[in-house]
Amino acid sequence: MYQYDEMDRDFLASRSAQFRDQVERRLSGALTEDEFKPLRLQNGLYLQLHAYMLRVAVPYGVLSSVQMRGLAGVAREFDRGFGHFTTRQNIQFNWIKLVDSPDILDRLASFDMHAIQTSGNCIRNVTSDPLAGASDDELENPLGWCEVIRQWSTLHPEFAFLPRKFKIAVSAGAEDRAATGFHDIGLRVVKSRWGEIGFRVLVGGGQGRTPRVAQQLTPFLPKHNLLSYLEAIMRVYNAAGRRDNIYKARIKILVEAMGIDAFRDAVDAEWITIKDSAVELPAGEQERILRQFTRKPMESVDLPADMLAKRRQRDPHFDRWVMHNVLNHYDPAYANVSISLKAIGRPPGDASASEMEGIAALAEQFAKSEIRVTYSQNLIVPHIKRADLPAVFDALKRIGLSGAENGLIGDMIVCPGLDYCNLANARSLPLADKIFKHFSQAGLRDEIGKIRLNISGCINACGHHHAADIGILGVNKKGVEHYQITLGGKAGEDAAIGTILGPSFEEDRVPNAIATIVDAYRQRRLDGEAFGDAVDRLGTSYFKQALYVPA
Amino acid sequence: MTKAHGDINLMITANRLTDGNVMWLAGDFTWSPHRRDAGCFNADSVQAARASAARDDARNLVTAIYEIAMDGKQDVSAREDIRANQGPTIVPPLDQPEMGG
Repeated sequence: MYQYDEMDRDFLASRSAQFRDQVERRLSGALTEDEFKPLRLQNGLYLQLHAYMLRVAVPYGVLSSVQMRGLAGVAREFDRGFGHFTTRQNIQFNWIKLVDSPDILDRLASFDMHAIQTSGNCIRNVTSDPLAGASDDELENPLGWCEVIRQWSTLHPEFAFLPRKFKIAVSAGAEDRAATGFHDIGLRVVKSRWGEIGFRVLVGGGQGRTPRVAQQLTPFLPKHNLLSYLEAIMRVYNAAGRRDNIYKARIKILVEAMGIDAFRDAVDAEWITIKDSAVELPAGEQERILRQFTRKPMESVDLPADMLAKRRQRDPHFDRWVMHNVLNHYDPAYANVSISLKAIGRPPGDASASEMEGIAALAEQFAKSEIRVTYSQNLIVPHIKRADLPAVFDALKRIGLSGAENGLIGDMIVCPGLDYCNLANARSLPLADKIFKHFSQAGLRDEIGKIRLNISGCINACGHHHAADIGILGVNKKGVEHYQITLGGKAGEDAAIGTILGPSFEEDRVPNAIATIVDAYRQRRLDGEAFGDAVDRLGTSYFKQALYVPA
Repeated sequence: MTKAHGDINLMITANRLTDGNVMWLAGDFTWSPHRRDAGCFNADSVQAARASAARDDARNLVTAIYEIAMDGKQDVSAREDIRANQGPTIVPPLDQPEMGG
C-alpha cells in the first residue's frame, strides 16, 4: 500500500491546524454557521439527525492494521465505541462532538489518515475493487492508478467547487466489483487488441433520484494519458454542468442533455489542448507510485487440501464459511477472506472498536497487515495462506465475526436511513434486521444462493437499491414509513437499473413480500440459475404477478 | 409539554453547537435535551420564542434551528420521534475492550 512521506505528513499537519483554527473561530462566533458549514464539510464533518458525523477517507478501501487500530481508538475515545463502513469504502463515526473534531483530525493524521473531500462538491474518495492486487481475475493491480487519481484530485484547485459531488471508481477484474457503471467516471482496466493495457472510460453513471448507467466515452485510453483525459472531462463538466438546480447538477444530467457524442466531442476538444502536456504525471513520479503497488510473488507454501477437507467435513460452520467467505487469490495456495459485517442484530456495515482491533491483529498475524473495506460494507483480509484458514476462522469466531454471508440474502447493502440521516424518509436498519430474521435459517439462505438485496431510506439511494437484484426504497406516506420494491438492478459489468414492481408496502409487510419474490424464483429457477439471471429470463411481470395478484 | 392555543402550535428545536446534541426550546426559553420539556408555542408566544432562539443562535449556543408544527400534543413525523429519542431504534455493536488484540 502507499506509504506517506514527509511531504504528505506535513500537508496533513497543516490541514489539521487550519481546521482547528476554523473550529475555534466558529465556537467564538467569528464564523457564522453559513460561513463554517462549507469548511467543516470539506473535512468530512456533517451535522446529522442526532449529532455531528465524521466521514473518514479510506483511500480506495485499503487500510493497514495500524490504521484499523487507530480508527478503533477514535471510535472508543471520541464516539460510542463503533464505526460504520460505507459503500464508498470509507468509515463514519456517528457521535462526534464539534469541540473534539480538531483533536480527531490530529489523531487521524498520526496514522496517515484524514477526512478531506469526503463531502462537498469535489472529487470524492476514489473507490476500487476490494480484491485489487489479490484476485485471480484481474489484468493488473489498479490501486497504483487509484493512488495517482487520489493525489491528482486532492485539493485540486480547479475542481474544489464543482457543480456537484463527483465519484470515480476503478476496476481491473473480469468481474466488476467496484460498480464502475454507476459512477460519474468509471475506469475499467482493459487490454487492447495489440496487447497494451489501458482504460475503458465510462461517464455519466449514478444513482439518486435520476439513476443512470454510465456510457462509454472511449473504449481505450492509454495509461500515460489518464490525468489529461480526466482533467478534460472535469473541465467540460465544471464549465457546462448546471449550478442552478441541485437535482440536475450531476454529470449524468449533463451527459444526457448533450448526448454522449457531443459530450465526447467537447472532452476531445479540451483534451487536445492538454494531452501529453505537463498535466500528465511525470514518468518518474508514475514509477514511484506504481512501484508501491506491484504484485509481488507470494512465499511458496503447500496447499493443505487434506487438512482443510477434514475440518470441513467435521465442522459444518467452517465448511459454510469456506464456501461463502473464502475468495480466490492469484496464488492458489493463498486466499482472500471476506469478513461479514452482517448478522441478525447487527446494523449492516457497523463494527465495534474491539472487533476492529481483533481484525487488525488477525491481519497482522495471518496476512500482510492489510485490510480492505468493500463496496458491500464488509471487510476483506487479503493474502492469507490456505493452510491458516482453520486458525483464521477460529480467530474470527473469538471476535464474533465468523458469519458466512458473503453474497447471500443477509449480505444487504443498507444506508443508515432515518435512524441517523437528516435526509432520510424511512428507516433502513430495522427493516434489514427484520428481513434477515425472516431468512434466519442458514440452510435456506444457502439454498436461495447469490442474491443482492439493497435498502435505501430515501431517493438519494445511498443504499444502492437501484443496483440490486431486489431493491427496497423507503418513502414517507403521510408520516408513515412505506417501502417500494424494485427488481432486476445490477452493479457489475452488465450494470442495470431495477424496475419498480408496484405499490409500496408498510414495513411489517416487507419481509413477507421479499419471501414471496424469493419463493417465486425458487419455483421457476433453472438448475444453478442465480436470482438475477432468473429475473432476466422470466421478466419482472412474473414476479409482479406473484407479489400483487392473490393466488 | 404545555398545550398550546390558537392557530399556531409549534415546537422549536436545534442542535447544541459544541456537540451537535438535539435540544428543545422550553416554555421558559431555556434549552433542554428532552422533548418532554419542549414548549408548545402559539400565536401569543411564538414571536418571543423565535426571537429567543435566534439570540441563542447568534450567541453560538445552538445551530440548525427549525420549527415543528404540532397536531395537538403529538408531532406527526417518525423522524422527529427518532430524533427526540436521542438515538437510533436499533442496537449498535457493543464495544468489548477485553477482546482487543
